[in-house]
Formats: sequence, structure tokens, C-alpha cells
Amino acid sequence: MSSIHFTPRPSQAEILKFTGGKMGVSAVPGSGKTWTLSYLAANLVRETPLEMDQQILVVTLVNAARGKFEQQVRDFLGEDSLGTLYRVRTLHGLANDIVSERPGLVGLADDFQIVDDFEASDIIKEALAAWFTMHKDFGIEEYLAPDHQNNDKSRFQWRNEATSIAADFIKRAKDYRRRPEDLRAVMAGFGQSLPLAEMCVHIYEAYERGLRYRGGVDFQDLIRLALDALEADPDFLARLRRRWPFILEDEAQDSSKLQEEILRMLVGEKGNWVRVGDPNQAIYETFTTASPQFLRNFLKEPGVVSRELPVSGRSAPAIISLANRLIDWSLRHPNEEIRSRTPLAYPHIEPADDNPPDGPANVQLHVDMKMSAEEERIFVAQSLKQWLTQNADKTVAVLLPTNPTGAEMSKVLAKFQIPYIEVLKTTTSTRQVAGSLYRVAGFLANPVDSQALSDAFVVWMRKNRDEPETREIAALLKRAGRVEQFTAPRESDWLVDNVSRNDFTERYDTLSRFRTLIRRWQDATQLPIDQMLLTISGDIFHEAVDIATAYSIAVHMRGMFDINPEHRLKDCVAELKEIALNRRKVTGLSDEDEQFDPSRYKGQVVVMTLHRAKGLEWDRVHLMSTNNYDFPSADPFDRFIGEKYFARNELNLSAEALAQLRALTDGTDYREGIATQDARLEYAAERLRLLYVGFTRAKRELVVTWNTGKMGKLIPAKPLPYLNSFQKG
Amino acid sequence: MSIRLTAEQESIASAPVTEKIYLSGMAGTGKTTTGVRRLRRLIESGVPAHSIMVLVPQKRLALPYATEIRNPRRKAGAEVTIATLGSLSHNLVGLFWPLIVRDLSRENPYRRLTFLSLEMVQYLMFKLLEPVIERNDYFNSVNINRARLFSQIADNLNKSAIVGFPHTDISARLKSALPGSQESLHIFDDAQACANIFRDYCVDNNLLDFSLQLEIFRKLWAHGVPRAYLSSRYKHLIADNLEEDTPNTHMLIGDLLSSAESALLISDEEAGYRRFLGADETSAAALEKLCDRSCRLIETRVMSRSVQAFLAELQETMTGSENIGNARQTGRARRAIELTAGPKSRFHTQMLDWVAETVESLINEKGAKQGSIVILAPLLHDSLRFSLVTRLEQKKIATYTLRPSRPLHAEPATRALVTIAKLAHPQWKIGARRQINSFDIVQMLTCAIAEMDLARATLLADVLFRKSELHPFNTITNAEMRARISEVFGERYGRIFEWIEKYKSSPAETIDVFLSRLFGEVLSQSGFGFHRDYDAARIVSNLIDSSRTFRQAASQIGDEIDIGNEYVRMVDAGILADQYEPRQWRKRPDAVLIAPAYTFLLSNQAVDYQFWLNIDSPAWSRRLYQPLTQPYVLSRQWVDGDIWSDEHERQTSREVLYRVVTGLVKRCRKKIHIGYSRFDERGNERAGDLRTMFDYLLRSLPPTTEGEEVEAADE
Repeated sequence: MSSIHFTPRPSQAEILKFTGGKMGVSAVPGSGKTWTLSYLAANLVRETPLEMDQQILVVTLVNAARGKFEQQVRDFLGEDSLGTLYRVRTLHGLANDIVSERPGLVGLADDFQIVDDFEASDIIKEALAAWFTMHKDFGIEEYLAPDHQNNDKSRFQWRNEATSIAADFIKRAKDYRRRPEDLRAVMAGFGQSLPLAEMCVHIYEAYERGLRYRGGVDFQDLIRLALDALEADPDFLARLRRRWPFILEDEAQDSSKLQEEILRMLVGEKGNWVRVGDPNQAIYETFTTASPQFLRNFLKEPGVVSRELPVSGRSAPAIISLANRLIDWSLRHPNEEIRSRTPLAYPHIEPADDNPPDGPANVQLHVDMKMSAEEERIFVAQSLKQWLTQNADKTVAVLLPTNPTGAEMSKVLAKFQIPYIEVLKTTTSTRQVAGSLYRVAGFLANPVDSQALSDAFVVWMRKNRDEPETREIAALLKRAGRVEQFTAPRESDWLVDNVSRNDFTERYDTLSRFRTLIRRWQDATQLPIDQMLLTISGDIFHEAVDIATAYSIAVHMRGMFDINPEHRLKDCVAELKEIALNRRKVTGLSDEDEQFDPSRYKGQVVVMTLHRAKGLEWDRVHLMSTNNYDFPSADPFDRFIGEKYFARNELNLSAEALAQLRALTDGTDYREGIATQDARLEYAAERLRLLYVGFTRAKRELVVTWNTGKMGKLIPAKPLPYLNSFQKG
Repeated sequence: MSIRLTAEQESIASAPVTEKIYLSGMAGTGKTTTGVRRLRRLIESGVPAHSIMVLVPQKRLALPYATEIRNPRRKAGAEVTIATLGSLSHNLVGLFWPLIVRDLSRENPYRRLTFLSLEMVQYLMFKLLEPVIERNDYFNSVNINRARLFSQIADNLNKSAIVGFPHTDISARLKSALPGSQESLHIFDDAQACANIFRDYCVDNNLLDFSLQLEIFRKLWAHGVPRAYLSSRYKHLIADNLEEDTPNTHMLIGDLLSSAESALLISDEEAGYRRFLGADETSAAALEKLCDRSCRLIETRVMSRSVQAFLAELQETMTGSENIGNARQTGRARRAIELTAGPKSRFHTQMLDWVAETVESLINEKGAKQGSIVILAPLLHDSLRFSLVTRLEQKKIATYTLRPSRPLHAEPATRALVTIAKLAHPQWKIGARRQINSFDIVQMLTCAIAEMDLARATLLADVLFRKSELHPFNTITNAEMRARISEVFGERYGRIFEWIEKYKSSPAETIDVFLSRLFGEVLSQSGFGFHRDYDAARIVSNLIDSSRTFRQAASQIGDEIDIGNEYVRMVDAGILADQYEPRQWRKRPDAVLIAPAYTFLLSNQAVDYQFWLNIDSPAWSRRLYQPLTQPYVLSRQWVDGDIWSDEHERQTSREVLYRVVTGLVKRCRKKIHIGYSRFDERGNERAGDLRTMFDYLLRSLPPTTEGEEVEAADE
């Protein structure tokens, strides 16, 4: 029995009639596409006579959406089974499944490692360091502006930038399915000099060697290798086609070319495929080969039934109207080249009959308020503080363009003592687990530091960390000069000397228990790193999710130590710090990671990037930093993230490197500067869609602010004044 | 305690000493018990023990026979020989190799033979092949680490020797059978080139890896003298687990049978867990016709009725066959299994909690013996084992593990010795990555000095470890610092320091002598970490053995290397001292066993309760995937001209899963607890065939009724 009730709207009911073939659905934000698709998946599970090894396959783009989808299908089915009749995977997860099933087909062993972006970046940095040792002045003359060529800082920055240029180049080359040796061969006979490509191909070669040495593949390889595996063995492909008689795909507008190819192969000529997406919400295009055009084309393919989900019950009519105006504005975009790319397109969102009501606070566009970044943060914090006092039962989010600006905002919220939850690269709870382990491991790496001892104590007592007793003990430990007299007393015992057992019995017992634990943890430093972390986490964590997350971190750390036998405890501490500080992504297991549900955080502010917010909704949404840097329009005075201050002629070096790659793969001429200009237009178009995503996250209230940036010169994003005048009018 | 045999078992055990019997049956029907009793009867009937050979695929499987031989009631006298193909070929090659010197080193044929351990093979390959691979850009489309790459090259050589085709044909065999483009198949040529280089080097230097040892053994066997020697010596043969042995063993048994007076050949049905190592059931089965009679044991001596019903359901689900016992209607089968409770099935760690709680309840509430419980996983990683052990320890439940022990290089005692070895040999040019750092010193001091704590070790290292060397304790002039460290620890530190300094001033010893002296003269003395620490002593002893073997083999190669430095370098790199088999695989009745599923299957035992963990892991049904080798294509049964297809792959997966799960069920008396969690240890959602199979099965099984619960209590 289904544990949730769902009454489909007429347009949704049309989609639920699907029994086979190919269908494309163009949906607007808040139209219930995930509900509809998961309901359809549940129906298919119930109604299709599946054999033991057959499943309904649902593919989503990101992990957060995957968890939500999985839960909904499970709820709709309402069965207490092991859930093997359906499979919900991200595209990367699906690729991993395919490769893992026949690793030998693509030159892998069954225990192949997936190297994450952080480690991949390390390999690239190592290769680049070697490159720059051999080519000391490489790129300085070619790519640095004359006044930066002798500037040490600029030269340093250029070398830093080379890492991301090479990373983008390698990713794209893999998307084109070009190996470094192929590119090297083409380059040898290429008539033009392509300096960026030359460097990047060299790094690509070293990078691949690095991966081979580790027995690893990166995320990009997974997609490429999955396709290789499907192509290598037609019988394998036929088996998978049989296994997944129905494929349902969500967020289809963000699929890359290769990802689409994988699904197309798995479906085959006669297979059943439902693709749902919103081309207006395509926000993963920059530096990938994803394009909303793929979905648009699919909708027009012969044999594909095209459907729409144009009705949205999510937002108040005023917010819907604002989003529709943004579509109108983009269709008349003042920049002809952006306009021709159709960043946003019809249909307009149609309100349902049960949307949140209109009210004066529905849309608050603070276009006329000129603020610095810090002033903007304070403004938002003050506004939230006031709002939360009357809306503790409501949901609210602060959405920002980047992770670092999100972290800055969190600091201000903390200062204003506003309850918040930060969901950036890693979630708060993952970081709290890593942070706790970091404190304890930090003490073990430096066991004579009384501050570290005190920190470890607070971690152990963190449930009562704000109790006066905890603070007093922490302060007492911090003053303990000779830590060893507490942790391993010999001639004198700090505990006996400083805490009277008669007067402070409870305190004495607490510290005595803590000392026993410390000895245990110190002994554990002799164990392999994962076992040390598991020992600590067994003592300090009590919630299932924390214990599971710590386990996942321990396994991750063991993998890192296996690859790097020279690593020691301090390397573990450094890694934990990276995770705790949000500079490092690990798989999290908490609900925020797996299936973020805003309604669980009523009365708390959720801090998130706009990208991550896709698919979510809140009663109130603060959209920050909506200036012409984060949302440019390719005006002559706009600055672009990809264009570095030290680069000659405002070149976007990553875009130029990719254009050089394109020249190599297509055999076309390379002309400098075109790619930079093209990247501007593409970026401007994508950022309009991002703004649209931001607007449509709000159910009742949308508050939009902007700031003047570091130099104080930024202005509001171009559509805002228009929307503002419309709003006022 | 002696098990009472059935009439059929008794008739086999007590058969005339002139009879050759082929005995088959599924696991749990008492075949090995019969074999052991046969051994006893042979000896009791006056057959000289030295004329009896017990042949098994691996030593662990001989445990019941070894126990019988050690039986204190047995009269003293000559010993029964327990052998594996490896030990037999090792001995025979060692005895008779001069007969075939022409097949050995052309330059120096009478040079002493050196048998290479697995780790020495890895070392040699690393040394010989690494430059070749780099130079030729070999394996550029294969992403596997070097240790795995070398083990696959070694594996290919072993397969060629086991199956009996020329090692130069490895690449051609693989290429002809595996689909793929020319471009992707070139890796087999690379692997072939490497195998050839390695083999030539071994032949030139009289170094015998397992594959060459087998090849020489085969040649010797053809020569006749060794065969005559064995035939005249062993007149009574007991061979157990034939299905897990290789065609070479089967050939040898076949030859010995003709001159043997009696034989008992035992084969398990639906087993074959070592196929990836070259085990061949078909050539095993061919021995049946060489025997005087065949027997088959049918009745299980292990499974309860509900477990039998569950087995029947499993077999039906997995093969589509008819359910013979018609258990479905009674719901009996459902009683044999229990699934992780719903609220405990979200995270992997919750599943582990559930395991520990269930084990505790079995012991405390149902009176289960600890030794009657086994916890099984398809792969037993360190973290998993450690987490289980600590959870059970907290509940005061003892555990033991059947698996190769922790690598020596991961042991604190080894690391402490290696650190001191580096300090004592400043002449070793140690690369930046491997240089000793302060934390190594801290770890060495906490391990080497009795009662040393982490804080004082850190103070010592902070103050006295500078420029990659230690300094004397008396150079600390700060009285407070001396007091903090304590004079007792200062004195012990001083003894280690002085020992190192004294060693440095005299001519360097060989690495094994160095380690022995360090252990004997300092670390095992009172006041030091290894004093009366028998675990540490065992580890050091293993390390000394390993270093000695390395030294002997390395000096045979005769390179201009500092052997001590090279040994330590290889230990650091995890190439040497990596896998150490425990000396004995002993069962413990007082502890819960934690083991990889395959290891348990090959450990000759049944239990009351089994826990199967991680049923969502694809490893339950997956053959080993290695890009440079393919056990099925390189087996004797592979037909030339066939192409390995996805259907083969699928069939193999089904078969692997079928054999493992039915094999486990047949070794279970009362109940199987199925451990499942939505997220695996890394937070991923997997969907292996075993979980799918259970999902399917559970949906079709009726629940257990109350009456059946009562019935269950009677079983």
C-alpha cells in the first residue's frame, strides 16, 4: 500500500498514461515533475511483469535528487521489500555500475579506485610543477599582459590558473573521447602553434600515467568507459537492455552528449524511455558538453511523444509572474548574440488553483539599495532575524552563486545568532563529524599541546559543550602546562593535584573517564589509520548517521594512505581539516546529503548555492549577490570569472585552451579571442537561467539583493531594473 | 569425541586395504569424516604410516587429517605424509633436479636452485620489469597498480604451468578468446613480453617461481625416476577436495593409482571454489573411472529441516528447478533465515550493530556456543573486521579471524624495527618520501620502550631528533624538560641510542642479523617494549625470516645492491612482508569466527549460525576480474576457437553465486542471518545479485506460522 497520496493534475495524468515507447516532457519549475516521474516509476514496477534480474531504471543528475526520488518511489510502492525492482541512479552512478560489472572490458581490475576531483587536481599540480621546472617562463610572454609579465604575484597566479586550465582541458578531451597520444599525434602535424594545448597535452599524458599508477579512474573516465564497455560487447549491451526495460530520466536538460549517448544505447531502437526536463533550468553547461538543446532536439524526434507540464502550484502568482517576465526579457535581450542563443524560452509558467496567496511581501527586489558585500550580508541577516521571530514554522533559504560566499554568509548568521544549516560542498553534519575527528586526531598528533587537549575534551563533551561545567573543565585543561602529567602521570598526577576528588567528585570522574579514553586513543595511533579513526568515532559519536559518516571518512582515509604509504598522522589531520573546512568533498550520508528536505528545517536558515538548490523550494528565499559579475550580460564593462586580471587582452585562458583542443579534434583553424567572446555569451546565457532557477525556488516570498563587489564598481544584474520597474508599475 | 558413522561411511572407512574408492557427495554429508576414519583404519590395520600419503589442494584443508595424526592414542612411529602439489613438487624438484640440468641455466646449470616465495616474485618483477614497462610504455590502457599487475603476470605463468601449455602461448590464447579491438588487446602482448623476460631471467639464474617449479616437476615426472620413487614409497593414497585441485595433481594421482594398493579419492559436489586458481572439476571427475568402486553420500549430517527447506527454495529460485521438498507450502524455509531489522538497515554501521546484538542474543538468550557462529562477508576488509571485533569485544564476545594476517609492514613492531634500521644505516641513501620523520620516531619510541606514552615520546622526538638522526639524552640541559621526560625513559632511550651508535661504528651486519641482534640485545630486554611480548616476538621472527629469505635470494641474483637497504625499501613500499599466512589455521570453539565467505568454504567446517554481511555487494557473485588474465580462458576446459561472450560472463556469475550460497547453506545447521544495509561502507548504494535474489525469494515465501515456530524449537 502506498504510504503517500498523490492526485495528479490533468497534465500529469497524461504522462502517467505512458505504457511504452519514447516520451519527452518539458516541465516548468514547481510542476511536480519529480512526483509525476516517481509515481510513474512506481506504477511501472507494479504493472510490469519483471523477471528476477529486471528493474525499472530511474536516472537523475545529482545525488541529492537521487535520494529524494528513491524515497518517493519507495513511498508510492509502500512495500517492505529490499527494493530491487527499481534502481535510482545518478548518471555517474549508472556509469559506475556498468563499468564495475565488466571492468575487464575497459582495462580495469575489479577493485579499481575512483579518484576524486581533489586527488585529480593533486596529480595535475604535480605534473605542472615538473612542466614549469622544465619550461620556466612558459606562457608568460604569450598569455600575460605586458605589465604583469615581471610581476611575481601574477606569474604565480598564472601557474595556479594553469591547474584549472589543464583540468578543464583534460575533462573536455575525455568528453571527446580523445586520448593524450591521439592528441599528441595530431599536434605533431598541425600547422599552427597551440601553446596551451601543448602544455595541456603534456599534463594530460602525465595525468593518465598518474591514474594508471594508482589503478584509478576519474569521474569523467567513468562516463567514457561506460560507453566504451557498451560499445565493446554487444551482448553485454543486450543484457543491460533486457535488465532495464524502462528508463526514466529526470533533469534531462543537463545531460552531456556522452551521458545522453549512454542512455540512448541502453534504450535502443525499441526501448522505453521517458525524459523529463526543463531547458530553462539548464545550469551545468559552462565547461561541459551538456546543452539544453539535446532535450529540445529529443522532443522533436520522430516517434517521440512530446508532453508539457506547464502548471505550477509552487509559488505565489506574483513570483510566477516575475519569472515569466524574466523569460520575456531574455527573449528581447539587448545583446543580440545572447538573444540568439535563447537562454530562456516559453512556455510561461501557469499557476494552478492552489498556489500560495498573493501578498505585499511576495517579491522584494532591492535593486535601488547599493551595498557592499558585507553590508548586503548584514542586511539579509537583520531581515532574517526579524522574519524568523514571526515565522518559526516556515522554511527559508539564502541562495548564493558560490560556495565561498555561502561560507561568508554563514559566519554572519552565526554572529547574529540566527539558527542556520549550511549545505555547501559538504553538509554541516559531515563537516561536524570531520571537525570532531580533526580535533581529536589533532591532539594525538600533538599530544603535548594543552589547547589541543582542551579541544579534544570539548569534542567528547559536545552535547553539553555550552554547559558552564564543560567550559570550566576545558579552561582548566587549557591551562595544564605539562599535558603528560594528566594523560600519563608518573611522579605527579595533574588530576589529583588540580581537582579535589572530595569537593568535585563529578568533575574528577569526568576527567578520569576522559583520561582513560585518551590513553585508548593514544594506543590507537599504532593502528592503521582507518582503525584509529574508527576507535575514536566509536567513543565520541552516538548517532547512527554520525557513526556511519565517520566510517565512510575512515574508509576514505585508508584508501588515501594505501595510495600514499609515506602518509602519517599529520596528513590525516590535514585531510580532516580540509573536509571540516569545506574545501574537500567526501560522500556524506546524512539526510542533507542524500535527500535534502527543506521542510525538516523550519525556523532555520538554509545556506546553499543556487546550483544545489535546484529541485528544492522554501517559503522565503533570499537571492544574494545578483550583480553584473555573478550575472553578467556580456556588456563591455562586465568582468567575467573566467577572465583573469593578469591575462593579456582579457583572454579567458580556459576557454582558449578548449578552443585549441577543438581545433585539434576537428582539424579546424584556431583564432585567438573567439572562444573568450563565446564563453562570455554562453556564461551570460547560463547565468540568466540560474537567476530563473533562483526566482522559482520561492513559494511565498522572494527577496533579491545585490552588492557592489570587491572594488565597489558592480551594478545590479541587467534584467533587475527592468523587472523592478515592472514590479513597481 | 568420535563421531558415529553411518553404515555407508563405515563400509568405506573399513574397506579392504586393497580397494580404490571414489567418494562424492555434497558438503556436510560426512566425506572428510569418512576420509579421516579411513586413515585411522588403515593404520589400525597395520599399514605402515610412512606408506600413506594424504593429498589436499591446500594445507588448511588437511587440518582434520593432521588432528587425527596427532591423536595421542596413536602409536609412535613413522609419520603419514600430508602433501599439496606445491610441497610435493618442491621436494621432488629439490631432490631430482640434476636429472634435467639441460633445462636450467645454460651458463651455470649446477648452480644451486632457489625457490622464490610470492613476495620474492613480486620483488623480482618490480626490479626487472618496471624499467621495461616505462621504456616501452607498456600497459598504457590498463589502470591497475603495479602490485596487481605483477601478480597477474605471475598468475598467467602459473596457469600455463598448471594447465600445461607453453608459457609463450599465454597472449595468443587470451587474444583468440577475448573480444576487443586490436588496440585493446595489445596489453596481452605486453603481458607476454614481461612474462618472457621474467621466465628467461629465472631460468638463467636457477630461480624457481611456482610456475617454473611446476614445469620442472612435470619434466621430472616424465623422466620416470621421481615417479618410481613416489610409487614405491606411497602405497596408500587419500586425496580430499579433489575438485579444488589442479589438473597436474589429478595427473599425478592418476599415475600413482596404478601402483597404489589402496586409495580413497574424495570430491565435493557443487563446489570448485578455486577455479580462478586453476582448480579443475572435470579432470578430477575423470579419476572416478580409475577406481574400483564409486560411492556417493546423500544424507546431510548438518542441515536442520528448515535449512534444508531453505536450500531447496534457493536452488529452485536460482536454477528454476522444481522444489523437491515442497517446503513453500509449509513456510518452513522462511524460518531458516532472518533479515536485518528494518530500522537497522539504513547504514552499514547499523547493520554491524545488528550483527553484534544478534550474536549476543544468540549466546546469552539461546545458549549458542561462540564457536558455533560464523560471520561472513564476500570481502573482509580491515575496517570491517576491526569494527566487528570491537563491537563484539564490547559485549565480551571473543572472536578470531580466518584470513591472511595483517601485513608485516603494517605492524607497529615492524615499523619500529625499520625506523631503527634506517637510523643505524646512515649510508643508505633514502629518498625524501621514505625518510624518517618525527612521528616515526614517536611511534618507534612508544613501541620500543616499555610504558612509554605518546606525550613523552613526542617530547623526546621534538628535542632529540634533528637532521635525520638521534642525539644523546644528556644533551638536554633544560632540567624541566628532563624532568618532564623522566630519567627512567631518558635512560632507556639512552640504551637504544648507544646501541645504534655502537652498531654504526662497526662493520654493517646483514639485515637479518641486524634485526636479530636489535631484538635480542635491546628490545626484548626488561624495560623495553618487546619484553615478554610474544605477539611482537612472533612478528619480529616473521620479519627476520622474510629478510633472510630475501637476502639469500637477492645474493643469488648477485646484484650490486645493498641488500639491507633494498629490503627496507621494499618493506616500506609494501612489496615485501605483505601477506603472511598464520602458521596455523586453528578452529576455536570459544570464539566467534569472522571470515571471508570463500575462506570459510575451504575451512572444512559447519556451524549452527551464519551471518552473511553486505548482501548488496556485487562481490558475492563476481568472479575475479583482472584485465591481464582470464582464469576460464586459460583453463584446461577452454575449447580453442571459442570466444568468451557476455553469456559466459553471466553464466559464470550465476554459477559463482549459486556455488557460494548453496555451499554456505550446506554448512549451516540452524539459521542464516542476512545482513543488509541501503548504504555500503562508502555511502554508496549497491545492488548485487544476492540482494536481488533474496528480494525475489522473500516475496515468494509464505511467513512462518505459529505452529512452525514451535516445530522449529524442536529441531
